[in-house]
Amino acid sequence: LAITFLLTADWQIGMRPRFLDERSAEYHRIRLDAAQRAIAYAKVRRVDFVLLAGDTFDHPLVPDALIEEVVQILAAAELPVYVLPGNHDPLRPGEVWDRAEWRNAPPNVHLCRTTDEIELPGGAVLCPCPLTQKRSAEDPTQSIRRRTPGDERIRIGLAHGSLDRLGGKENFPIASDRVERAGLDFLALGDWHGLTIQGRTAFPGTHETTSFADREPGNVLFVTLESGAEPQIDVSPVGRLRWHSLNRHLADLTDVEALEAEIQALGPIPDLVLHVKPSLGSGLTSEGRARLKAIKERLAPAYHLQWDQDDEVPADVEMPAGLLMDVAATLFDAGEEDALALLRRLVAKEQAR
Amino acid sequence: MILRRLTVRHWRGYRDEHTFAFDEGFNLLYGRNEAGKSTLFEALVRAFFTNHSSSARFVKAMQPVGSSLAPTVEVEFSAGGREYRLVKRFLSKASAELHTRDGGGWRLNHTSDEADREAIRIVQGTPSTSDKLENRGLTQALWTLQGEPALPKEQWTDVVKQGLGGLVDQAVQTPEERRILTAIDRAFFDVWTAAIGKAKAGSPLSQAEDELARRRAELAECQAKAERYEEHTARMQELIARQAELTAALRAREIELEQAREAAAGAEAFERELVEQERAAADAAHAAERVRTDLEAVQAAIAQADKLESERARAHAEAEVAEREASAARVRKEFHRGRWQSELTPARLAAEARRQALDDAERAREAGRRIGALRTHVTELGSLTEQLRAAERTVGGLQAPSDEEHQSFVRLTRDLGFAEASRAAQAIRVRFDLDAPRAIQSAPTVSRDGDEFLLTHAVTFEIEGVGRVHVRGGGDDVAALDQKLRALREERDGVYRRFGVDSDEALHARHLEAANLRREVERLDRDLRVLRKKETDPERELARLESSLAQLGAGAQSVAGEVAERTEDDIRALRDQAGAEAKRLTTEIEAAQKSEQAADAETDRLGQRAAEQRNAVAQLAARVEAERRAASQVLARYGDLDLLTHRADETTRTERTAAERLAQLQRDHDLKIRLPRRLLESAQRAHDTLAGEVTRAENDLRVQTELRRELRAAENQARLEELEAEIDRLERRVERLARDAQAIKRLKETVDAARRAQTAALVQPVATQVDRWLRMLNADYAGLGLNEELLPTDVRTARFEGESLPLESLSYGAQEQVTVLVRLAIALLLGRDERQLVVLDDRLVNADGHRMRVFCAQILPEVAERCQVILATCNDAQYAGVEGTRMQVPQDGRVALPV
Repeated sequence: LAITFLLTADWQIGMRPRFLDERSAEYHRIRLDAAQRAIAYAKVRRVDFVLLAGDTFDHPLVPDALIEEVVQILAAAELPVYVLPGNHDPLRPGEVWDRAEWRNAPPNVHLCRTTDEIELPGGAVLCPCPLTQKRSAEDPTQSIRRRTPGDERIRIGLAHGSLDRLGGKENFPIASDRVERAGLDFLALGDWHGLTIQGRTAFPGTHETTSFADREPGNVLFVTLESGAEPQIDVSPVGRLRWHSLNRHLADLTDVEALEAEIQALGPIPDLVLHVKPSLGSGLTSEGRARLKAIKERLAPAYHLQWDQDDEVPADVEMPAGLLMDVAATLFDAGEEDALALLRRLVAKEQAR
Repeated sequence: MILRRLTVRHWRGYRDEHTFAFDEGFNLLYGRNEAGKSTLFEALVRAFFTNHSSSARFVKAMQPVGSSLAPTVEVEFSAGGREYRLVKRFLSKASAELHTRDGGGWRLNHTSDEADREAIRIVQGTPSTSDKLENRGLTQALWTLQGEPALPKEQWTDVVKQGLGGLVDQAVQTPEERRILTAIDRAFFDVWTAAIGKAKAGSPLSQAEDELARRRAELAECQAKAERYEEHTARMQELIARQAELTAALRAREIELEQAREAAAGAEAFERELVEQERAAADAAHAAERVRTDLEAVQAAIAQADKLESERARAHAEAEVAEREASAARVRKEFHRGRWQSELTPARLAAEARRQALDDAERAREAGRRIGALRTHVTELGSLTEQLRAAERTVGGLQAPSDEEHQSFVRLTRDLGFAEASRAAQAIRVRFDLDAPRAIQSAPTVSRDGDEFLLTHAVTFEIEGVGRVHVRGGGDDVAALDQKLRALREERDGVYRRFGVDSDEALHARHLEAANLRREVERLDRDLRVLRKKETDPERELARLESSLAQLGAGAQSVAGEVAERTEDDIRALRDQAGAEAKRLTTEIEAAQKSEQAADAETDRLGQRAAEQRNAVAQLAARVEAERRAASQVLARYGDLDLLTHRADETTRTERTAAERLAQLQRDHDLKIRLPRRLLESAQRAHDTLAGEVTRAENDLRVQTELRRELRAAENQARLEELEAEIDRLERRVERLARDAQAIKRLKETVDAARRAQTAALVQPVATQVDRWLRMLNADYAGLGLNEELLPTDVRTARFEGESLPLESLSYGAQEQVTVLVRLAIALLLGRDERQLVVLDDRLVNADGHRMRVFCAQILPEVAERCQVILATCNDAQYAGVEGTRMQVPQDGRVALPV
């Protein structure tokens, strides 16, 4: 008997990237849409149930409207959905899970309030490990009891934390061998925002990128478990935005062209969250500069663009002979590029008079 | 710049127009003091640096005294390869014109303010409404004018800095570069204060940093608030868990309490039964006690009556015994009295009489003996007196020396002995050793000592068969000794005669005999005195004793026969015996008297006792009667004693039964009443305690919830996110501005370093030039110290191993010379590219003759090679040897214009 379920985590609804400023409300939509896509896929794939492995919300004080929207998305699944409180949205009094918007969730939405085992559709058993605090050095999966001899049911652990690769110094460190120790068929985890699969243990990662540091974000997992068989894990992308930070030194035109090609390869421009920090070499000609300007202009439709470029330094500035020439040479020899660029700008400005 | 011509009109003393033409080399302007030399230089400065429109006081002061004429100056000069003509008219109809040479004539290029500015620009001054030194560009360093300090320390710094700036600019030479440098300065001072490293308040960087600091502080507050929210949440979680535990525990307690209440209700019924049984038991005990009390009272009364009856009988018997004993005691009393009165007392009197008689007998015996002794004593006394008188007589008849006479004689014999010995020692000793024994005669005869002859006077020896030997004898000493010896012998012989002896020994024996006799007399006399002392009047004592003896003999008459043959000891023994008997009888009498008294007392005591017993018998009889009466009264209620005894047994049995029942119930009391009640109380207490804890926990939770709500965490969270975004943005801005600030700082530092390097490059040639001139002026000087801004600081000396002297330590004249040399050296160097005008207005007046000669003969010509020099002086003779143009100022009275 095989069961298939959708594993997703770290929706972080309510999160607001700092650089977005006043566009944060719009950004909530991006994350909700990705969640909606994930649930829609689950319906299409006719999974038995959905596991949401923690950090559904970015913090316990998210606006009621966002809770309402999440509830609607989960209700639309028309499938059993098991939601685990994570470290960003721990099960604490008077917070997100106690709000009326959440308490009115339809019956298919189950919040794992205790570590009691839950009978899953298809005869499997869910061993949830809800978090009740933001930080802890305790392994939350300690509560999962060992498989009883003769119990042939599929047992799935659901928890939120980090694998104890740093020797237990992580927040909510989870024993890497919990699957073997507890006799689990699968351990579904949340917290790491990048996709991580280690045998029968897996982090789907966040469904929509949250930072430039995320590695392989934007996915959900479709997991198929069958007694005695290796789990089948299908990675499905649902995220929209791709975050990239490009810090490039542009010595000449070739470098500019390479940057242009790199950006083109990133996909649709409106789906990009892009930080570009070009550092212009003194040998970059006016043609190269013009090309760079064109790239920047083409990136205007990006979801977010941060272009950190120093004030334009005109090319081909002719340094007056004498003292200023000496100064320029000294700065060049000392590698004082900023000071040299400033000098060049001032000279260019005076010469333009 | 080279000055070609200078024309003044209406200028102080120059009311009329005067023109001075200058050579490109050395020009000497001479005249007396106040002749108008400095006025010309003033006109030169005003032409270039004073706006024509100025009506300042110093401008008005240029007008000739008492006039309203317009001071006018016209300067023809060349600079940068071009010829210029600058005309300025001040005050009335003020104007300024700048012309350039155009072929053979002049072309007007600038007028008015423009002409003012352009004139300044040409001489590289700073356009300003003020013609202060620091605005005069290069001329400030090259023109040394009257009234302006040669080495003004206070002002020199700023002025020289500007002058150096001018020099650097001169080196830079391009206006573009100057503008760029100005722009760099401006950009720097927009961000930094003059003290490099300190960001300027109000600069964009400073503002952004301040803003960032404020936002960070606000963020810290939000974070603190968020932390407090977390703390409250954690506390709430604890409280909720605690509340759940307490509620569960309270529920369990409630069940226990209900059970305890049921058990307590069962205890009520049991307790009622117990109370009833207690009452029944008490009643039974009371009844039994009452009957027992009556029974005991009756039994006690009967027993008491019996006891009193036996006591009465005993008292009666005792009374009889006492009476009998009292009678016996009276008999004993009479017996004792009779005995001591009629038997013992006469016996004692007889014993005492006998003792007295024996005593008298003994004393009579003693008196008799004493009388005998006294009689012997009297006899002995007479005998001794007789012996004494005989001895005294013997002593009186003996012819013997007294002790003193004997002592005197002993001294005489000793002196005689000494005299004889001395005479023998003084004598001549003669011995004859003959070969054969021969008879030796001496005349007179001499004494011998062994085989020696002792000669004390002239002697003739006749030796048998040999002949005679005459010895003339000793000296006067021997004769004196002989004389003394003879006197002593005569005195001795007198003593012998007086006492009838013929030798010393006889005299000594006579003296000893007399001494012995005297001692005997003394002994007898002493014995006699002792004897007399022992008995002063023996005769009287004898008479008294004989009288006493007669009396004692009479007393001892009764025992005379008995004691006649007995010794005194026997008599004393008999006397003591009689004394002891009398004593024993006295004791016995006393004992009999005591017994009599005791018997008397016993009689009284027993009589009293008998009376008491009789009285007690009467009392006891009455009490027996009373007891019997009381018993009868109690028994009247029950019938008789048997009935009472039966009744007592019956009530006691009833009491025991009730008590046993009660004990049974009380044994169950703990189990059935106290335990359920204790359990109920304990359950109630536990329940109440827990309920209190639940209430407290609920209150705590309410408080925590309220505290957490007050933190408005959602708002705080939103603000926190906003702040983080804002801080992120500000940090980026600050980073960029800081980077820009660092860039301009670095650029400024590099430019300043380059400027310093350039100035240093300029300093070296100036220093080299000045050093050479200094050594020419004074061989003791090795060189001049210049700082990087071309300011002279010290003079190195050739002596003292290059020791340097601070400029201030030099004389005023030497300081002036150094200053002039620095200016000339600068001019000389600047003159490499273009001749420069050097003005020296009456300087070096303090130089000595040697230095002036060196200055005029070597330094001035060298400078004049590459510079135009205009030197004003009131003493032209010193410069007589210098080649060049010489002009006397017109106001000196001897106008000579080399036009």
